[in-house]
Amino acid sequence: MEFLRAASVDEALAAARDGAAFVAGGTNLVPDVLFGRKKIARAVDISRLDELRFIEEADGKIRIGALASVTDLLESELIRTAASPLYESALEFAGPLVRNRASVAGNLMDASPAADLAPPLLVQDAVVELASAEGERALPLSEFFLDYRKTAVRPEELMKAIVIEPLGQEGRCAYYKLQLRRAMAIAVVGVAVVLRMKGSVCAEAAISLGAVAAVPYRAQAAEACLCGKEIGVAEIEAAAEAAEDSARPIDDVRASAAYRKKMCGVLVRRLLKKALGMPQPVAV
Amino acid sequence: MSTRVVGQPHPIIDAVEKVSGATIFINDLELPGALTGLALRSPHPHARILNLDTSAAERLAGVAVVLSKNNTPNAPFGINHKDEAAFCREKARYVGDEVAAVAAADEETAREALSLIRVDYEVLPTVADPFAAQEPNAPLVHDSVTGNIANEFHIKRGEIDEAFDAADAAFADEFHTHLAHQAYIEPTGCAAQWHPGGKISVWGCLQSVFLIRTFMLGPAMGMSPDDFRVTQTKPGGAFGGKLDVKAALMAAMLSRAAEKPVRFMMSLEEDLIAMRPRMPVHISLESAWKRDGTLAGKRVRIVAENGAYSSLSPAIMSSIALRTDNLYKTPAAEIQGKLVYTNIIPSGQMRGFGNVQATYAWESHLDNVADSLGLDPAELRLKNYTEKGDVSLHGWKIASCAVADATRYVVEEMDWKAKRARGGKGRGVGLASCIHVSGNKGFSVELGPDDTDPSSGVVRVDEEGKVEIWSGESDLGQGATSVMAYIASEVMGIPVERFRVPPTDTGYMPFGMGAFASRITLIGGNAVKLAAEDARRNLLDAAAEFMEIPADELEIVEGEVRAKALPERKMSVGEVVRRAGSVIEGNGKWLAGGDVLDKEKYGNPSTTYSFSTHGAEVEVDMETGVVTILGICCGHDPGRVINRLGAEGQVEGGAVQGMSFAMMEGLAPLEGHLRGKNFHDYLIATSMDAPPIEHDFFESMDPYGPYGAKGLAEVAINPITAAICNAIYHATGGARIRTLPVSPERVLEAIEEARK
Ligand SMILES: Cc1cc2nc3c(=O)[nH]c(=O)nc-3n(C[C@H](O)[C@H](O)[C@H](O)COP(=O)(O)OP(=O)(O)OC[C@H]3O[C@@H](n4cnc5c(N)ncnc54)[C@H](O)[C@@H]3O)c2cc1C
Repeated sequence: MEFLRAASVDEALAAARDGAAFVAGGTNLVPDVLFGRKKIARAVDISRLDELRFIEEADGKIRIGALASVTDLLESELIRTAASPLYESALEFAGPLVRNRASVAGNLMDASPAADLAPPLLVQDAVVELASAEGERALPLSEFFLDYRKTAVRPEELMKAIVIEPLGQEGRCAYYKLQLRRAMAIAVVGVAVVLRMKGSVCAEAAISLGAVAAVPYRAQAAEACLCGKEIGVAEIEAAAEAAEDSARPIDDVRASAAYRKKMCGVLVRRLLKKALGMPQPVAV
Repeated sequence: MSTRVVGQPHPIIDAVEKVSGATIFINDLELPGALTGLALRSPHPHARILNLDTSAAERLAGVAVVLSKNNTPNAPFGINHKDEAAFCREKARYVGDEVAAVAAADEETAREALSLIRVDYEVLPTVADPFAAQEPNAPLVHDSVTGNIANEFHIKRGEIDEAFDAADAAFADEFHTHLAHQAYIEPTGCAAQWHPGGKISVWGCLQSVFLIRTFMLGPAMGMSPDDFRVTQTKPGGAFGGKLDVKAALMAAMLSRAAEKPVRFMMSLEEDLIAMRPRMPVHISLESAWKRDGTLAGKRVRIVAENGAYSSLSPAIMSSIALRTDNLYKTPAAEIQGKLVYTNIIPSGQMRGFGNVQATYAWESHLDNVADSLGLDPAELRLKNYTEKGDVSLHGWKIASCAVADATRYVVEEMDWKAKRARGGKGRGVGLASCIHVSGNKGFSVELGPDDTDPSSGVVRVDEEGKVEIWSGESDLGQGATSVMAYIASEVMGIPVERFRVPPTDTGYMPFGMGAFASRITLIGGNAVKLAAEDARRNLLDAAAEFMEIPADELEIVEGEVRAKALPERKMSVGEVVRRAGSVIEGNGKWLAGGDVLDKEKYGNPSTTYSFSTHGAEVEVDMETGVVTILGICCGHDPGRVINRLGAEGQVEGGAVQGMSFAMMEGLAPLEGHLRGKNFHDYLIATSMDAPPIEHDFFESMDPYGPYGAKGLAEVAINPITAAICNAIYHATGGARIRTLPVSPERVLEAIEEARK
């Protein structure tokens, strides 16, 4: 395997051919190569491209550089206040050592159904900026994941940044990662919700689910139960049910498909109520 | 008795070496010219080996030897049944079974050699389920063992049928435990060096350097145990898993064949699929009671999963079967056990030696009983506990016992009464107790030289006043060497800093059985104490001559021999040795009490017994089943605390390790294939998962223990699983966890079942 440390984005793009793979934090790629899950001819190290490591406000949006680490997310006031589901997912992400290395782009590019950053980015209408020797393009995250560990990104394309809509005044949100231990655990179910309220009416609803289908996705049928409505218990019930119906999970060592499916309903119901500040029933 | 060192908090004696990274673990051990050894493991749970061709591997440049059934004699070995061999003969019986091994110049070459070995397998049906395995037409794991039953027993003690007939109430329950690994952080490895003349040196993190020669290396290699010099390397964790370490055999066989040193280091995945994880069991319980909560009798049926080979499993099953009957005054019992072969990784011993499983089942059952009888679970236990002076139904002699004190402490500390009264609504408290041996005579017969469960120690004082302790008992990170140093320091009046306890080595050290059955503090500690007393006597006798003061008028204080009446008349210990010769030594040997059980498993297996009670407070999310452990509170009776820091470490480590087993661990076999074969899928608790732990010690001052001490390693882990499950039961108003681990999914199922 050839190893090349890119000194600039252009150099990285020029090297991105013939079975090359970009290396950011390496927390997915290194174990993948080590355990023979991935074979690569050339490793193009982009980890020193500081121009890809930033978190900024631009044109009323939040731009997150591809190389921003999960720790960077946690240390950003902007993320904490204007993208709190992403902030909360970063809190639950791996442990400090991995968070220091793991990049936002790497998490999306790895395209695991359980990628923790995907649900919160999806509910803030993320668009990824891609570049290749041929030029640049923008791809909504909702069109990014094609199938199990398959993305719409071409092999020679480099992700430069992820752009999200800030929560703003009207944004009501919540996030939850159901996991089997308190750190370093792959999600059993990940849920993020954002409701943009116009007075008492829900102007836009975003609900996303992770680890319950081949890809992380927006539960559109559930969102439709809320959009344009005054949200009461009936709407929340309908959305929870639709979310549960939308899930296509598998059985694995962490949980059964049936449990995961059921949790989609439970958690969507709970998070919607939490986002709206509605009382949660004391379950007995 | 007032003590100077014993009972104080000391860092373990090699703490600085360990935390500064200076410790040499097996993987750091360099042997000049060593080859790399690797094993080829079966990818199938059950397969006949039709043809095995190693010729291409042998031809590869850099390969020294390839071993397999083709060029090794069929020398079966095994502690209870001789059902194992170095390499698969006619069949592979689990995924991970050693089919062949290579030794090559480097790891890359060794890996390539493995890939060149051709094995033609005829895949056979997998025996995965221990109940299906007993069906008449089930495939056989070992062709000669009908019904796949490795062992079985049926014992009736006391008037059991009458007890049930006369009882006011009887209750039944079933529990299932899972396959969980010891999950030490250091993967297993061994190194071996063949010497011209036919001797072999072996190194590794091993629980018994002496016994591995007699139960494995000698018989499997057709050599005498004396042909091996086995040296312990500093432990990276064991928890029961480093007793029957086949890596030692692999390294030794490869080294003999290659006539070169060989390092055989297992990967983490190999370790997870091919060591000896904690035995899964299926336990059915019935108990008979008087209305006032007095236990009248119990029936226990056990189906234990042996996996592909037996090793110590028959003894583990026995321990599961009998152990809890001795914690309570049990008038009658009927016990049936079946140990069943499957095509799953051979199960084995882990901290608790079956008692974790047994205690989980029985102590969960007890809370169901208390609930049905309308009694407080703590009161029910206090009413039935065994006491000092009791001889249990099975013949166990209780020499010291503070379990009731431990329980009262937990009740008080947890604000039990108020919290029990609140109960339900997703928050609850539970507790559980256990009894454990301090050494087990049975092992001495099965593994040792005779039926005495012996330990010997040597204490040597040199001309600089430094003291070295030689003991055959291994330190596995539990602090054994520190305990020995503190005991000897207490006896000899020489500061702890002067002591050194080198790694156990059969080459020059006296015999010890090793680290298992919580035996080292009691048995090894007593041997070292005797040796230290002998050394002290010899020092004083020598000093008496030089100082012209009778020995009984002298004492040793701070490393100086002083005249009791005239403290300014003194000589340093080093000076005494210098004038007397080169070293002054003391020897000690201690034989454990108790007896070997008879055929009906009656008798007193241990000198004495330790106790503990653990409590847990939990919060249960009633919609997701997610359990948060808010706090753990434990009381222990270790007889006497020798090193307070070490004892606290045992207790906190045991609680967290037990909680981890209960809540998240599991190799998760599916049709013979393990799913938890890395630390991503095999979860162990992290520091984030560890709740606050309150604890205290209740020192029963055991009459046999060194300074009153008995074992602490296993009582520290046994009850926590049941304590947590009982707290969940309380929190949820009746969700009983009958199958481990306690996943959110299982909790939710139990909540739904309880609602019905
Ligand atoms: C111990 C451990 C714990 C973990 N815990 C979690 C967890 O809790 N939650 C979670 O979601 N994940 C977890 N992961 C997975 C991993 O850490 C994350 O997915 C991480 O964000 C990957 O980022 P990276 O920078 O390390 O990616 P890398 O490994 O460097 O790359 C991953 C993939 O993305 C490609 N890539 C990287 N950057 C770019 C780019 N700019 N443009 C195009 N392609 C690119 C690489 O070629 C590779 O295919 C864990 C991993 C480990 C080892």
